[in-house]
Amino acid sequence: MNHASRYYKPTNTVSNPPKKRELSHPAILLLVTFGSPLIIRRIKGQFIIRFSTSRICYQTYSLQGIAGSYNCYLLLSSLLTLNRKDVEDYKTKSRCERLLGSGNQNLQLPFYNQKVFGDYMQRLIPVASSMKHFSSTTKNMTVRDALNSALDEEMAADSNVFIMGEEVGEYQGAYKITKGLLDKYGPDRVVDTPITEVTSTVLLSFPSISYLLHFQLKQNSYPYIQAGFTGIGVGAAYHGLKPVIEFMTFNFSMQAIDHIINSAAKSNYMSAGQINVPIVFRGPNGAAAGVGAQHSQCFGAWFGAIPGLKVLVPYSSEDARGLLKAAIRDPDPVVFLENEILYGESFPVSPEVLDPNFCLPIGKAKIEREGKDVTITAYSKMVSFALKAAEILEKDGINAEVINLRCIRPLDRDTINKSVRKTNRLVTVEEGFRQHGVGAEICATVVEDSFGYLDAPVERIAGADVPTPYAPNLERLAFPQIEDIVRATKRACYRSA
Amino acid sequence: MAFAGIKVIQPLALHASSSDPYNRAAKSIATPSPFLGSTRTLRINQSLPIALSRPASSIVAAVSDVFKEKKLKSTSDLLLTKEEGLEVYEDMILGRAFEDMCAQMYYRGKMFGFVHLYNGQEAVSSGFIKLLKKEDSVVSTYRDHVHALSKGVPARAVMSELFGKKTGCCRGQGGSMHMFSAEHNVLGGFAFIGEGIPVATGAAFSSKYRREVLKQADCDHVTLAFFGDGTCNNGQFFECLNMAALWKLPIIFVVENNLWAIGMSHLRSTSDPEIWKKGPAFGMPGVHVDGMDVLKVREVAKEAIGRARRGEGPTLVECETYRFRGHSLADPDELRDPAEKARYAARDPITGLKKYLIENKLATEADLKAIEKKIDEVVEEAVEFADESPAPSRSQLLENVFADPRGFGIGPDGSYRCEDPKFTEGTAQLCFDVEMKNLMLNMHLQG
Ligand SMILES: Cc1ncc(C[n+]2csc(CCOP(=O)(O)OP(=O)(O)O)c2C)c(N)n1
Ligand SMILES: [Mg+2]
Repeated sequence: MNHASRYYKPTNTVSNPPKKRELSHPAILLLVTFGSPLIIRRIKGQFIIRFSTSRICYQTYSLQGIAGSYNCYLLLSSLLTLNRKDVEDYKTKSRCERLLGSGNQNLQLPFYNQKVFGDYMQRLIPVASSMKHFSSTTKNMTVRDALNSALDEEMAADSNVFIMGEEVGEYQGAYKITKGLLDKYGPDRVVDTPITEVTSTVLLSFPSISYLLHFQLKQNSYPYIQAGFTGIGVGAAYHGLKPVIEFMTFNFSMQAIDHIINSAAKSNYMSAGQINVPIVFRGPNGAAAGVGAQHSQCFGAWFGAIPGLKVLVPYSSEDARGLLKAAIRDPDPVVFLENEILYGESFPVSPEVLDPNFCLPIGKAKIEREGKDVTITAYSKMVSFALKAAEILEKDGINAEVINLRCIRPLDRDTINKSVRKTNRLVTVEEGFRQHGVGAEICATVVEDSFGYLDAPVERIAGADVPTPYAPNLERLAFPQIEDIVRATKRACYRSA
Repeated sequence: MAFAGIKVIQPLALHASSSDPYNRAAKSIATPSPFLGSTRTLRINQSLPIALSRPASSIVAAVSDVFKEKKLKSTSDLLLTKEEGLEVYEDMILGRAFEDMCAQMYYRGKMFGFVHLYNGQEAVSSGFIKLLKKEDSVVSTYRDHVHALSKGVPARAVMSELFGKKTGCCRGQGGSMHMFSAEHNVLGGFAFIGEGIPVATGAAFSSKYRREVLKQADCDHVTLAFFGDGTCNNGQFFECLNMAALWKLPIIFVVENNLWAIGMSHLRSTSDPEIWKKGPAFGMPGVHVDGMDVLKVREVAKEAIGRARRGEGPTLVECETYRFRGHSLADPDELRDPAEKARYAARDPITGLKKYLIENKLATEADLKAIEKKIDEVVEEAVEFADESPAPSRSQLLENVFADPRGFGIGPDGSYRCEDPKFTEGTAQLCFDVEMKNLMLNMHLQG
């Protein structure tokens, strides 16, 4: 059964305008699923890959720096003497799309066993198998599966991507986000570390060390890449590795915060752009249940204060997938703040979201719910609280707009201000501390850009100004609850509670 | 000054012996897979009866040069008196019964979050802490209930803390991973790996400071820092070993090497699994002791505590032990080999002590039964007490954030916020949103 034609769908043009990266994975999939042997010809500077069993042609293009395409590039260049310029040519994009969409019923004969690709295909199988998700209907996916599949696909697509952290391998992740990855990618790419946050972080923050690992990877573990690298050499290494560091929880990132801020976030600037650090720090953040002061806090505002970092705060499965992929593909250090309590939550996801190409733009908020009376901004778990509060408020005749920030840094000032200009009222919600918090920044943004539009003082809802208490009744008091959002929103609308 | 009653051998001898199980363990990880030490080969090795199945009879102290010339004393006939034996036995039974009860209560929803139990490691807590004076300090980790109990914090106060009640030793504010008791000098359960070690080093520093700078000649207090094998890979451990040795601080670093850090085997995470060796590397004695044998632990502890008290500096003690339960009550515990578990279960430290006491006529079966019965009652009573205790009142939320609550700043009326009678009662929720609101409305009206 060949799904390739259904498989390729250009991603949504509104939230995700067509970019170079879009055709990356289909390129790989095509190679996986189509029959063999390949006939590859070069016609007028374009590469035509022809499968002997059909007349389909396929053009690779736009490969630079893009995870999946990059692999494809390696793959192709192991067959051809190909230079980057050739593969960057995407003039024939539309033609390609046409071809891909044209259906090819008689393509079978997978070439898993082919010598050149044997090993490679092993790595690509996950991508291929993800095709089973593609149906026209919306399905549900937990945030955990969303993160897991995003990691899986990015690792499949780009062998520079690897994950490192405590218990990510044999234990399958403290919260099972990396489940199954060790089996698929082996211990060299799913690396269990000792309890050494500082060192793991610095080790991977420094690209020079990444390069070193890179060579090790090539020489020891990835003979198939070696083939791919022949002819590319240092050019490929120049891209460095793309580590994904899992903090068991972000609380433990405190032991490594020096290197997140001083090594990762500043290297690009200090080196005047010579050395960028494409690293992702991810793990659960925010209030958890019953774990006391040290294990239950939000670091959004901490990392959000640092130039050089990008700080993503997914809420739904769509966010989790799209933002994690964006983070991994991003050339800069990204702090990716998940939420333990959301991991098990299911959200509907469209086929588009399940597309391995799916990727969300960094720096763009999402309006989760449209409304006209008041704007509520929230991130991570607080989005669900804000949505629930909005439902309650609806019954009282208040029509709230809920903005899921998705990204704390860069902050989408535009979406926030547009909304406030429409509703004239603002309520910010966060679990973190109020002083110097994310809400504070949003308020300042609105006061700076839309002062004249505000009809009421801004309401800021935040965690209480205390370390998280253990006793459940106190713990509940320490974090915003849905009632609090309802109450504050009514105040902002000058309605009595 | 030597470790009396234990065999002291040269560090090198340990290495020379190729039949040494520890050594074999070290070798097995010396041939890692191509990159960063593959996990696969190791898992196979782990199922061999390697590492730490060292014959229980040998306590090995490897010593730095400082220690080498000291002469050895032979083991005395009996390692402890009847009273001591019963005290230690009672403490171990308390630790075990208390933790078993915690598991029950956790599953009944009476405690929350992460609860890490100590079953199997009792010989370490009882072997060390029962030798301390009240003024001596203990610093622990998230696996801290039993350390607190051994140090004398009443079972009901610990249980109540776990229930999140006002009568808990931290009024319900700390929880399972954060036991504190100023009265008993339990300086905290610390949830992050390694972070208790500098705190303990600081406590030891203050003892030395009081004795030498403040001239409080009677201040001979020592500090025990408890932590796990996994923690020994964290930098704070090394920094503190250095400082403690440099300044000859009265501290004992007690490593509870239970071979696992959650699902990470000690052998898979540590280049040289013999932790005690890090002591001599920093110029302090390093001792390895069978942590399933409370008498041996006690002997080593006596020596180390004595050294610290006399101002002779720190000691690193590696206690080879095992936890009989998962890492926490949320851990599925799937990675540890059942054969390994069985091997250590057969060396249950409580059974071992019982046997010793009876064989040496230090106690009768009836004596021990009576202790067990007494402890059962203590634990039952603790649960009842905790269950009946009130939850913390709402006003408690904002208490204790600062020692001086003026740290909350000045309120809208120009006086300190904390002086407002409504400060903790009416406005605790959501960090003064109401107060701030009032303030803003005031400004609004004025403007
Ligand atoms: C800085 C930091 N990183 C990670 C963790 C998560 N964590 C909690 S316990 C633990 C394992 C500790 O093992 P070990 O030191 O051997 O102590 P044990 O639990 O075996 O008593 C880890 C990794 C943590 N608490 N702190
Ligand atoms: Mg351990």
